[in-house]
Amino acid sequence: MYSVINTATIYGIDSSLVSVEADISEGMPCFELVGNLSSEVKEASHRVRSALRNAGYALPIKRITVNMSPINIKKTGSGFDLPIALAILCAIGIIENEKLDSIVVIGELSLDGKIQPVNGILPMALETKRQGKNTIIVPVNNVSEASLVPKLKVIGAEKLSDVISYLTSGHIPDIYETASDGLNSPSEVVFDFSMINGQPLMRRACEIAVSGMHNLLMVGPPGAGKTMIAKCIPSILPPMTLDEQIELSKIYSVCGKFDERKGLLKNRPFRSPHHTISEQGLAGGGQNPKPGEISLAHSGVLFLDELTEFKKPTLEILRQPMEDKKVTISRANGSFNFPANFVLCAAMNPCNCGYYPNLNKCHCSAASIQRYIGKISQPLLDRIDICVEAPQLTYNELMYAQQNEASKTIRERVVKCHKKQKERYEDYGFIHNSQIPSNLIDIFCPLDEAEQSFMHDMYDAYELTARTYHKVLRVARTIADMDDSEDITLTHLQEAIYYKGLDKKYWEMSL
Amino acid sequence: MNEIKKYSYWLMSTPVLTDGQRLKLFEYFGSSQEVFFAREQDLIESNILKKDSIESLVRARDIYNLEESYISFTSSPFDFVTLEDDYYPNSLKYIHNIPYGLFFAGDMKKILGKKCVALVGARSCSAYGKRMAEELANELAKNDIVVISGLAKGIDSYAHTGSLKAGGITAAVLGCGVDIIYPKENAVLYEQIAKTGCVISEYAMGTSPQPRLFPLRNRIISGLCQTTVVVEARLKSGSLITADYALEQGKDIYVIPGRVGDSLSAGCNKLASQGAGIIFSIDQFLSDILELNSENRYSVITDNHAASKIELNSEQLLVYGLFDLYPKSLAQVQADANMDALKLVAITMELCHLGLLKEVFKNNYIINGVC
Repeated sequence: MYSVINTATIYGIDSSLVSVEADISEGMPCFELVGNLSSEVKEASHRVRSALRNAGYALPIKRITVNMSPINIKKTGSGFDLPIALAILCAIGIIENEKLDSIVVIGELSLDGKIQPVNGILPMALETKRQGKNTIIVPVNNVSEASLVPKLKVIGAEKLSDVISYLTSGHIPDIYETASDGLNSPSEVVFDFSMINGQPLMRRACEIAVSGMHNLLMVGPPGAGKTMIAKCIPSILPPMTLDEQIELSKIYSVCGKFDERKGLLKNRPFRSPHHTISEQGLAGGGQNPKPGEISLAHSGVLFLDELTEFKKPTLEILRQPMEDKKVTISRANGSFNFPANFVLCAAMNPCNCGYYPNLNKCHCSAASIQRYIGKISQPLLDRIDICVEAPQLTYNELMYAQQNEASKTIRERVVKCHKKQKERYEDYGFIHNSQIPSNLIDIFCPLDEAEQSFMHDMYDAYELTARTYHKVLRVARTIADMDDSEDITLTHLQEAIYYKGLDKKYWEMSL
Repeated sequence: MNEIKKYSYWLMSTPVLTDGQRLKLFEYFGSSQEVFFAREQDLIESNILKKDSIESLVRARDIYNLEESYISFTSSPFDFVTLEDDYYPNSLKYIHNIPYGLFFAGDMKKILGKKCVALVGARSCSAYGKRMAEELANELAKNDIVVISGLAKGIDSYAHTGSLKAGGITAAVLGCGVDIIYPKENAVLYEQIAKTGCVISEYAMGTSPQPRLFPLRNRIISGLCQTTVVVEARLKSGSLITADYALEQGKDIYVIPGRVGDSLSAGCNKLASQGAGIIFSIDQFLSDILELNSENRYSVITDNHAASKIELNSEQLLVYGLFDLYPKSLAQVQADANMDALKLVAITMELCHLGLLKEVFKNNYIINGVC
């Protein structure tokens, strides 16, 4: 007797449907699972046997073969227990096969027949919908996540017997069925620029960074508020579109970080990995690759505090994703693309003790400062457009609450600025000023004679290179856009020079 | 001549003896040749060396190949001078613990008979110290005064470069063998000094830099000069050792004063309080050491900056006035500027463009010229 049940597996951050076939035939009694399975799927046989018996069904003393197709996809995850159990029940005739074609079943079983929640329900539900199935049976704890997909019938089951009774008699375990839009919570912003006192130039640098999607590096003594400011940056990024929300939610769902109660992720993420993080932790990895921090920061902010403390190989990994806006991980069972379009915000101290160039406090030798700076790789610095000093706050700035501009106002300006860029670059295949390719710089950042002569002087004075020169122009373009000016003027260039990237050589020489 | 040099070279480079013993043996026996041929009995009688050092000296002397060692040395670009030579620097002869001989690269004779000024200071110095050292060395060089320092990082290097920039003669006294460049970063500087002036060391060729050697060489720095200037020094700085030697040797000490509470200038200010000369302007200092009277005082600063006179508008003047010789960030000056942050950025960058301000560290500026 043969039966088939639909389920889904996670593949990268996407999902693909898998059919679980069960066949019961004469022969030596055994229970075999085949079909390119990972170990947690193979051991499902034990859970299924006990769960079935505890739900009142004994496995027939026959040869039971369960196959999962397509074979070329590695099946991982814990959601296969329930479909396997149902496939067997179907094969022994307890459930009718015809009903099951349009249903996708996902769930982990415990030995007493309870159904446990699994990771990655959102991408699986999206795939279910995409493939034209109209019903998904999920663990009761995953109902709200699956319900985020519109026009999909979601059945939440608490135990195996619920599912059997639904499939045999059509009895829906009513309390578990929820409306699709039930649990959306309003988006909330925790950190807001109105909380930042003083620091006008830091605020400005953040706004420029976000307006042109430039990466940002803050250099300053400990306790200057670098982390605090970084945490505010997501609040001035434009609101996320629905597509962005779904994509981000998928990433979080796959990683098991999706919070059921809050619905789709509406706030841009702020990820601040500790500097001890491994390469795999940052970029994603594992035998069955899971997204890393850079993907969790997708469409938001990746904040690297104490940039110099990160291991060099870890930082080097950032280079490719920063160019491609995604990370590709290749493994034996395929290569996976995880989106990783983030604004990099990094913070560092100027030296070991953190107080250079205040020589009253800093006793670091020139060599130790060089060593400290030398820890960051030049290629990474090259990808950071804006570098700004985070100054120590004075008591007055710290203590007296001022009327600080709120994130909401800044965000409105940013949205306007993004719109302008999007229109300008529509035909060129990129969106933001930070992405202007060097061969198009002359077109989008034209300079008049006075400006050109200024840049000539600066080029010599600061020993700029072609790359750093272009970076200055891109930043100047953003500043001009914020100023609502089509031309880049001297003032814009002057400000852009002020934020010019960290130059290691210059730093070392300027004792 | 060659004959004597052979023995001098042996006495200078034999590792068995300490610097003090070298000098004492030389003084007792009268010449290096006498020391070389001194009988064991005479050495014992001299009562300079202990018994076992005499044995090791004799043993080392017996296997020493006079000719070969000296010839291999003469083929190197280095030279040496000892108390037996007539061009041993006079100023050194009257200090305590005279070095018996000095190895050098370049030309030692260039600094003889010239006015020498020692410029010493902290290795990790401020932008202020850097500027002062460079300017002072520059002006000294213009007046044909030799600048002597220690080739260390920081003030020492800037003193040398300042002098070289003005085409002056400068000398470096090392705390290691004269054939060892320490710190390595100063390799280019070493070459330049050796080309125009000289690099000096009392230690045998190949001596590696050791912490105990550096304070000792300071006595040579101060000894070679009539005047020692401490540019920047913390309270526990090696530069103060040089100042101590200078005092002991009866030389003049000047300091570049700093702000009270500035730890990098604390050493200088303390010396000033103890009676060291204070350099409040470079021309005053020059006229002091050149013993000029007030009428024909060398006027440096006014000369230097007359050419770079730049007309500033009132806002630029205001911003320029907020900076000084110590690095300041815009956040620090903003409260006094009382203007919009972006305007402050623009004006600061204008002043940088005009060369009046200089960025010495990310978003930290000092004044770079006088307007």
